[in-house]
Amino acid sequence: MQAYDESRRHFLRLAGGAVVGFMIVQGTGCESNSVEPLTTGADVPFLTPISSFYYKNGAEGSIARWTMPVIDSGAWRLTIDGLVQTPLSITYQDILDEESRSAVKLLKTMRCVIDSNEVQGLIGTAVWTGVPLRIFLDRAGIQTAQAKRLRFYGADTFGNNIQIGRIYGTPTPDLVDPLLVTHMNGSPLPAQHGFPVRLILHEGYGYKNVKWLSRVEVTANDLPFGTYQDEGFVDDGVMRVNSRMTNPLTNAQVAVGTIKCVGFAVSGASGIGTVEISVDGGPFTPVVIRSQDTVMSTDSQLASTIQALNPAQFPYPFRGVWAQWEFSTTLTAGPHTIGIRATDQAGNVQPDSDDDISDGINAIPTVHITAV
Amino acid sequence: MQMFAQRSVRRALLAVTTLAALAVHSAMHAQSWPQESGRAYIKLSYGSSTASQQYTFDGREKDYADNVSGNSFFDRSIYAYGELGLTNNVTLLAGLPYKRVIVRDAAYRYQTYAFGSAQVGARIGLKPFLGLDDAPLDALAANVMLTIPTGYTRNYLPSAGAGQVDGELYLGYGRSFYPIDAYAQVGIGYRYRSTIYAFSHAVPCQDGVSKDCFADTQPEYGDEFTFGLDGGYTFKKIVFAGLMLRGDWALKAPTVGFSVANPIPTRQRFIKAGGSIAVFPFDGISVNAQLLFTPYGLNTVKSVDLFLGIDYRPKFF
Repeated sequence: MQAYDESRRHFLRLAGGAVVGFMIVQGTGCESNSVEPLTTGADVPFLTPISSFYYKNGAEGSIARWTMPVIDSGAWRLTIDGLVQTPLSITYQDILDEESRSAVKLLKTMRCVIDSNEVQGLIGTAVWTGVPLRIFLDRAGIQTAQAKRLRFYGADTFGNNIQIGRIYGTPTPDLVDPLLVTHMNGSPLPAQHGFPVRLILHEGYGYKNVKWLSRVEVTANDLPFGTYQDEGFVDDGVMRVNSRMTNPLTNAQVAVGTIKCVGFAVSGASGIGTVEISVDGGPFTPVVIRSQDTVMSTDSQLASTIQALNPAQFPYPFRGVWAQWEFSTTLTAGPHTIGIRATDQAGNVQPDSDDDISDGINAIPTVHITAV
Repeated sequence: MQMFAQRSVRRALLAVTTLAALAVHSAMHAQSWPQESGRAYIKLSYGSSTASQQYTFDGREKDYADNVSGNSFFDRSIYAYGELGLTNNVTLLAGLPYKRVIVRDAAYRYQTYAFGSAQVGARIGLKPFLGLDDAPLDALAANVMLTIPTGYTRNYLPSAGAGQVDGELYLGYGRSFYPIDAYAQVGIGYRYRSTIYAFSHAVPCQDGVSKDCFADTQPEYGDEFTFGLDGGYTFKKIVFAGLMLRGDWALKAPTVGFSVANPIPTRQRFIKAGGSIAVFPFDGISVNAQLLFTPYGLNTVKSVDLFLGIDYRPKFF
């Protein structure tokens, strides 16, 4: 019996020692963590191909049992109702017919409000073809004395709004009216981008551009409205000034010597004014924004956009469209940091810090790289 | 003759405890048989979980990471697990995983290697307390387990574990079908998820700059029901084959999604189903494999899990 107890105690001592050993091993460096860019980065094309254009279905996280609408264009109808003299039910063919007379091709960067220094990649630029929503609103006859806002509803019940003044107020020269869009980069909208018709708001984050649009309600209610607004995101949804370096990416290893950095900056409030770079905490220095000729020559579709056709109305860099920049610097061996700061022509500057994801503001991004 | 029959039954029950343990890689599901005094069960296994999709918080299937097609979640962990019968009714349980978790999104690949959360506890046979000693083919046990974070960094992307202590009470009932070499067992448990950090720690994380971590705000993990059902049969005492079903069920349904870069949901529900197979090349040693699918889930990774293991049953005292 004593031998039995001894062997059991011995075993328990061994087991206890093993547990303590594991704790010590843990505390002395058996843990490792790494975050590697999947490429060193890329010089992102000015016009984003549909195949690589992000899509983020904002309703997925907000609407229970959400499924992506799959809509037959022949059966689709857009209702315009509320404070109108004549409610309308618009067909897809009505939109196409109007496009044949007054199509607008708008170059616009679509940026999800969640796209940030932490969650990158929810951004892309396309040519959106459609017709001004105002054409149909005028047909319906807005009761402008009472109307305060337009509420938009997608077939998935996703909602958003704009103030009536965005269409019937004082025009802003470089801001295109909200569009009912049927095509993206010359092709019919893919289902995930809102086929058959989505709203495009020139200056707005993705959530302002309601997909699978099914209803426009004219209302006297002047309160914020929308699925994302219910989640706490800003009501106006104007893209805040933002910048990003796309090559190299954080944690990338680059060769010692002169490297070329590229990236973009965008704002919905105005065109980009300046982009500045700070290397290893040094002073911010302006970088070169690629010229209009350079970027517009990258794709034949760009020549027919409203911005290209009306240069006096749409000064470059364009409002609501990313401006691509580049910068070269010489690095010695070792770790380096590169900070990027954008300022738009309205004077909005990226802040040093911002912890509120719902305001759409992104702090100055800092990219960590190592030269070897 | 009667003694011979009793020995046969005991051998059969010993085999059942082996088979029942083989059927799952964790002790926490459908474990109904305490080990006999002095008997140990030691298992070393390699787990490979892979996913290209996730179940959203409301049960839809979608790509694991936005704009990434193909597999983007990889768990390649090593599990050490042991049991020791202190008496015929009390078994010590302990397990420690070495986690190797790799996830990717559209731009980055995140990887963490570390010892995960240890499991320690005991299995207590309940038959003596209920006067069921004369039912040798039935088994009934309560498993009391603590899941304790070791010294890993809880706010790494991804983390090696939840970073907080869980406690679980799990009741298992099993039945041997002796003289047929088969068994079945079922169990249900409750997992209390505390706010105790134990040995996990956090690194400073600068918003907008650090890519390897997230702000160390304490998650509110939801308590869960756990359940399991498994059974198996041994063919000619050489090859074992079994089927299993297990699940976790958060008391409160999830309402927000989990982070792709740190797939440890605060609330989740899932059911895993699959099968296991084992061969017995030497006495007391088996080589085994389990394959599990995730046919249902809320707010969880829709993974395919493969475990390859080897186990040994020494007698220490």
